[in-house]
Amino acid sequence: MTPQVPAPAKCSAEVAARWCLPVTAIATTVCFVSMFARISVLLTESFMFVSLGAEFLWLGIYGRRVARYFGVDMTGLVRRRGGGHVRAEVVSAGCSSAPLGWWRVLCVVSSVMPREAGRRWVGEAESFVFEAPGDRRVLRGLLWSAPETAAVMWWGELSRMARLALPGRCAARRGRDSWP
Amino acid sequence: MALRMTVQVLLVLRALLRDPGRELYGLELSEETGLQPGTAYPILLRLEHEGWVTSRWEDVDPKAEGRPARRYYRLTAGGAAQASTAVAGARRGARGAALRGLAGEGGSA
Repeated sequence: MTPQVPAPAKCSAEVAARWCLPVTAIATTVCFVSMFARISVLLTESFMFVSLGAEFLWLGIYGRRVARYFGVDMTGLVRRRGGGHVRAEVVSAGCSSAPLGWWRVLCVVSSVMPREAGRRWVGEAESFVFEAPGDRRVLRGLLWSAPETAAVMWWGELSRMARLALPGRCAARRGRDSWP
Repeated sequence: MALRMTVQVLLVLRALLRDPGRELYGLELSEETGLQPGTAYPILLRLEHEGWVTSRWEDVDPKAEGRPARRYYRLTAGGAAQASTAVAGARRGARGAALRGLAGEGGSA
């Protein structure tokens, strides 16, 4: 009785020939995809770096002018209702309890509001903060409500501008809600 | 932007209606209503925009006074009438809702 000899395994060369192509194809595809991904990330990041640099350059050149346009001076100055820019120490005159950092935050936040309304908001914030010294909730509450406040202000400003653009139609209401 | 009669708005109106001729500044109003200035301020802006309230800066010299100028708010004549109507309507509504609630509890019990 001859022993059953198991069928010989396929030749390794045959296995290699069978699997080599798909494996190579998959590996190449992965490599290409990864390479493209990395290149695109690199390009995006370099674009981001370039754009960041350009933004800094732009801000360096025009930032002060833009800040002046919005009524904000970024060099430790605060804006004051009634126009004009006065240094923080002169404005406060010892009666402001908020640190200068908060004033900067208030000034920056107020720059998204219409100009006069922003000045008024900062003035009222100054009053609130002075009257409730040490109560950070007041300042925090004002800052949290700033988007809503800005929306209300812009709505008022836009409707005022629309009324001014239609003088005959809405003359009676003109100036009612201008920001004093 | 129509004025929505929320509880907070009604609280502000009620505080202003206590003495319609009296001027209140922001923090005083916050203390009377129990609202944070951050909540009361947009409401006052809306009321002012609707013409219910007028405001003015206090005419003081901050350096001489030793404090910043306050912004005073006061109901206008038309605003006072509208505010009274709104507050009275809210009271009626609240009373009606409470009575309905009580009736509902009585019915279920």
